[in-house]
Amino acid sequence: MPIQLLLFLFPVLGAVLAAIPGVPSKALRQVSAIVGVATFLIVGWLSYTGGFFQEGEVASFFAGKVLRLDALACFLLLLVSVLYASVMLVSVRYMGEEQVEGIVDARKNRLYYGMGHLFVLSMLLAAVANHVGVLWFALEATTLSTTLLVAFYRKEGGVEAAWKYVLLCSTGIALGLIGVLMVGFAATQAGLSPQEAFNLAALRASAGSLSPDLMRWAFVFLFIGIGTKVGFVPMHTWLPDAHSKTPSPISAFLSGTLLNCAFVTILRFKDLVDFSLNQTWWTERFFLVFGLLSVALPAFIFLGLRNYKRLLAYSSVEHMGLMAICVGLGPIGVVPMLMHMAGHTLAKSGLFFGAGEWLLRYKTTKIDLLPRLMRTDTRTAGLFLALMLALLAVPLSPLFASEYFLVAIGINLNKPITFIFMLLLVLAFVGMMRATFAMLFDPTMLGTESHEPSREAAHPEGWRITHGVMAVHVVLLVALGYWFFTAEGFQVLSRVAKLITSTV
Amino acid sequence: MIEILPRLFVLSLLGVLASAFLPLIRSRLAEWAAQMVFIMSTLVGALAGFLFLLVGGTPFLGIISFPAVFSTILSIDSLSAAFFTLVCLVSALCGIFGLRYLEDYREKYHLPTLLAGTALFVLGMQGVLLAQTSISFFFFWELMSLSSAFLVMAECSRASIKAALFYLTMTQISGAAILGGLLLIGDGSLSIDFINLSAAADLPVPMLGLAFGLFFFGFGSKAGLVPFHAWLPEAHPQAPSHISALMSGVMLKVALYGFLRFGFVIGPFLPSWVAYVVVGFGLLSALYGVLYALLERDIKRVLAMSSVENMGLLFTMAGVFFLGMYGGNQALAIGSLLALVIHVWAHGLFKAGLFLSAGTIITRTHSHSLEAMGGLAKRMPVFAAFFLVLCLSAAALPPFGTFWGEWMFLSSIWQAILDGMPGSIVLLLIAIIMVCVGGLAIFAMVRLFGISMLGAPRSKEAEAATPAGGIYRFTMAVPALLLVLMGLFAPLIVRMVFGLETVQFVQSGNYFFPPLAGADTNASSPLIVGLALLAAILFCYALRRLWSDVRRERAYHQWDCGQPITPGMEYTATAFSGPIRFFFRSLLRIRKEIVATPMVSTNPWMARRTYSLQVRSIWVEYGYAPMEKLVFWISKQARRLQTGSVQFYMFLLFLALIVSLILAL
Amino acid sequence: MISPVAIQFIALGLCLLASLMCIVTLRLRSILRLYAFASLMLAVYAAVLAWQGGEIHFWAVAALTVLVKVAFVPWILSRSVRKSHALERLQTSVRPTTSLLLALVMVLGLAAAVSHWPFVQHAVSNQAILLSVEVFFVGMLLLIFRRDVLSQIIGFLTIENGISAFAFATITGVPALLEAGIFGALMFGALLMATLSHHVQTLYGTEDTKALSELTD
Repeated sequence: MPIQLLLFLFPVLGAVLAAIPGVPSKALRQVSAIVGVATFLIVGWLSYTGGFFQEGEVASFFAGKVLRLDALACFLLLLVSVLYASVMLVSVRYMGEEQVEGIVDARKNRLYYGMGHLFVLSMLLAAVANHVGVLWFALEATTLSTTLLVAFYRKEGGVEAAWKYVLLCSTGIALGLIGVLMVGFAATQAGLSPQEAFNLAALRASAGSLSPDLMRWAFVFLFIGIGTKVGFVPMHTWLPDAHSKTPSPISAFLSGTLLNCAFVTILRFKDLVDFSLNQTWWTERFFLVFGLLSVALPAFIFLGLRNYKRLLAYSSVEHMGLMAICVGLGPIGVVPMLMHMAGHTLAKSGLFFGAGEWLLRYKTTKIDLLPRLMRTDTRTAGLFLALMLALLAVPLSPLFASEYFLVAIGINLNKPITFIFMLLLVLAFVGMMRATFAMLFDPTMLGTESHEPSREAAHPEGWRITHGVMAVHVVLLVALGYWFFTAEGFQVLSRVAKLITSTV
Repeated sequence: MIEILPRLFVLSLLGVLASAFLPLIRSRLAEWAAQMVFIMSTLVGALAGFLFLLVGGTPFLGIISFPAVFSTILSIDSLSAAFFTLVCLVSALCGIFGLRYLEDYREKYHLPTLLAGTALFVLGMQGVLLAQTSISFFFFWELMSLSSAFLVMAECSRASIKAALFYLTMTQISGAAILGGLLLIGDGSLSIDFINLSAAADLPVPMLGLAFGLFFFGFGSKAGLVPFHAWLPEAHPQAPSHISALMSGVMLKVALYGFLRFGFVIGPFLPSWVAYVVVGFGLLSALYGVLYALLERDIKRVLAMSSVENMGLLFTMAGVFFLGMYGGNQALAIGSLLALVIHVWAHGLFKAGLFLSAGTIITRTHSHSLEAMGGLAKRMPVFAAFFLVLCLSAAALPPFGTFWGEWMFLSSIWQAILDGMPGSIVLLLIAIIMVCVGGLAIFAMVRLFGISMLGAPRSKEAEAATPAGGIYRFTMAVPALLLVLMGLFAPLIVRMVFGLETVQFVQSGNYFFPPLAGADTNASSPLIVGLALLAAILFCYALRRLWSDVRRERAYHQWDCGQPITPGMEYTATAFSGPIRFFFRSLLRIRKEIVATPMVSTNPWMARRTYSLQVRSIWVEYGYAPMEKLVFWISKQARRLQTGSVQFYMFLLFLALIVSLILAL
Repeated sequence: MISPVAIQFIALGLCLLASLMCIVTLRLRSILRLYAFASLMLAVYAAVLAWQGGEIHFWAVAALTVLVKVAFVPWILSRSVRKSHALERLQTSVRPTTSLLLALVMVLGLAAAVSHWPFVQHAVSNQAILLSVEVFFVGMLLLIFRRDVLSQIIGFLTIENGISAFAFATITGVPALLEAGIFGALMFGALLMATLSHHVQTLYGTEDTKALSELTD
């Protein structure tokens, strides 16, 4: 029994606990928080001892090398588990408050935690999967486990969002499956045994001999299919709906890590295709085109949004686009992509926590129905502003580092695209800032004539665990922003990047 | 001596940084300590910069370097020292002003954030001036831009948020342009050391031209050049007054510094017409700025537009410097460069002083509008005297520093024309426009002083104005005094500061920077001019005393046509600018409306007339507004993609797949 | 005696035909039956492959297909429909004749383009690949043309059928792990979608997705 399997222990325990009928809601919440923190500690320990700081591939483990823990997997695991801990801590407050208010009953509470733990389980699985089939299944499982969470409140919007979510993402994953099968076909054609043909490490070892024609086809299906799950424009349409209708802590999860898992999956296949084509430009074009589209559309849409959760959701589309552009700039772009991924995960999830706090207090996601939050909710608003600035890549944020490198690399490779891209970034910055200022200082600023008076909260804002978690995210962001500029941080990231870019 | 200098700089930076975090402790004492630390450390910075200039002989001094992948190195040379000293000095002044001013406005602003923001803003400016690698330059640049944007909206009113948002937009665009330029001349490296900038010479000319264009746009829009200036008259008036002083007084200079820093490097390799472009934009800004300084009625907008004018003058000087270098006329180049440095200092001081005085006035009158002021000279005479000095400096009259800078510039142009430099018709044109701008500036400043200080009070608040306190006076006295000193001892200062024989502005031999040895700084001694002026004034006074029949003069009330004199009869700020509006009506965008409502229905002649005047800008009306409209229109169209129909979403997915398959395979 | 290859061809052809008829039919019960029939043909295809290649693996797959796709999924769907009292008549945004025409055009177009596919040089059986891809795209069209929830589920399942056929046609030995994953995901997916469609019916009182277009920001 390999030690790495400890990873799954706590989420499984959590899910099992949630499955027991009649388990006390409060105990479930508290145990889940402990489960989250414990998983984070285990992942931290595994990453520290098991390869995050070491060179080269790390041994595969479990039943015929189905799983493995390389540096990239560690990177993803760390992101997932940090968020697992934060989300579960915030959920204690969020679900507790909702249950007090009678929005959620004990059964719903169990559903929330059961699905939540399963969701994390599938993400952890996706991160460490070495078998393509397991990887595919884990991704599909993320969709299935979150669908009911999207439809959690059983209101019109929630069910509608869930329907679109499950239909589009399942279709996308189905396309991905065709891609996976095509890769397998190419591998069997190249003489690999059926076992090897679906093993990522084995595929990578002999990717040079795969038929380029088949791999091209496979990549188009994989990119469009899994890209649907990542939320690239124009396949993003489900994303703002789903991310805005979920309970806020889960939204943080969806935006913060699920998109990353799907994105890294594409990257793992991209590497294979690059090997087989013996060039990277062919696949990079996809990332560039879809990346630019994904940055451009939200950048414009920000200006018209009145709903703060949708704003954050669209911003996730934009950031996935940015990461895609990073990748599209060539192997060197993967390092800034990783910086961006880490920064985006921490900042966006923190923002969703803040949004959740307001949703709890004011029962609305419309900006113009909020009061002046800077005055009424100073703590949340201050932390929200700090995280928003971090998300918008001000200095000291890891996103500043990544976007600086992105532009620096881009300007040497492709000037016109880089200039367009910079203009889009400015536009996105302004759009996000405009909405943020409206929320914090003057909700009527966006120019809508709201017929309802702005909501008022029942109690003054107190110190909540949410604030602690958000503050930790801010601190982590600053620390990471600094660390990525030091030689050590840069080296670690380069080592991670090498796992998917050593091709050419 | 030179050994301890780096430590002084570091001390100053750390002190400012500390003062940004001190207010996090929620207590009055911490706030006070933060302000004190801020003032002290900026003073240390000013001292360090001044000592560096004074010691001379060391053209370049490393300060500190952080070991990181892309090292952050701070260092100082003569060019940055000249700006650094000014920034620190003005910051210290504003800090002192804040001690009292913020006390008066404690309810209006959230003090801890304001103090922290100010400290970060100053730190950003200091950092930009000291940065030696492109990544640190950009880092501090962004710090400066963002923190100043948040300071603009310190009041949290709708107007200030809108102004801050507009400012943020422009600052982000200019930041992007600057980053693009930095990376272009970096030629492939992620972060270049400015010491190695001369390697940029190997780049192809179009690339350098592009970089120059980006720099010009980026720094120019930050410096408020027309037509990229539109954010400036919105943002500067919204900020608290001492922040406006910092923004107008020194932040614009930091932008100019950036332009010079990189212009010096790229300039030599560009075709000579870029000099005309720079001069053209400079003159346009000067003319446009001064016209609007004449028209605006908000006292802080007047000052903001006057900043646009002065930045225009500075860019004109920079452009003429380039002109001189391309034309091989070293004397012209040196003359305009020295004039530029003097003017940077003069404008930094008088504009900061004027904004601080505007702040003081607003604390008395509770209004930004000139039409609500008047009669203040009688109520706060000491203040008015300092204000007069600052206004005269702004009008570039002798014997103040500003005059000397402009005079030096004009005389070197004149000398070049006399020397028969090719293209002297352009120089002549420049000189004419400069003189014209100077005249209009006098007009604007007379209006500013006259309407706000003289006459009878136009509002109740102005009538009840009390003399300004010690700190308010002190912060005006310092720039006023310095301007007088600068005016009187300018050549000495130049000689001292630039150590004429040895100092080059920049270190590497590849820059086209001339040795300053050839500069003839004794051509016109302002001390003599100043003394002559003083003598003339005394002479006039004596004449009147001696020849006029003083004893028989008697005080008598004004002739009033038999009606009581009210402030409503006074010359207004609007009326004052009437002739100018008439002359330049084709350049300006003005809507004048007179609404007459008859008081008695039978007699059309007896009517209450309201007069309203709207001053708008052609750049906003034909440039910015349509652009904004376009972006919002696209935004609206983009949102239509989210139809809500799942079938359509499926179709999009299908389409993406098919199109990718067809295009990629 | 018909050759096994011919049986394969006929089975897949019938599968495609049934999927095409799904596009035409507007009756709830018949679309479920057509789907079950198409799945059955798929099972026949797998069985023929198993008989031909003599692999136990394919027998298992065929049996699973019958169990899951022919029996379980249609049963769960019809149960959910009965529970929520959905209308017998399905909703479409494109008229059946037009959609059939478009589908035929697409089918013929794919057939014409088949020679450009790289599989042609590699594959065991060109027709099988062509037919499986056509089933896949017919499923897509169903998703695009049909407005009601149930037809969309059937569309998704048809896509799934196409993928299964593709897997059978290309790879002789899809690992059991992947195969199990696919079936598992299919089952849970169908369950989930049935639950959701029930929610839709109870909340909106209709299965028409026209009602599901509130989120348009």
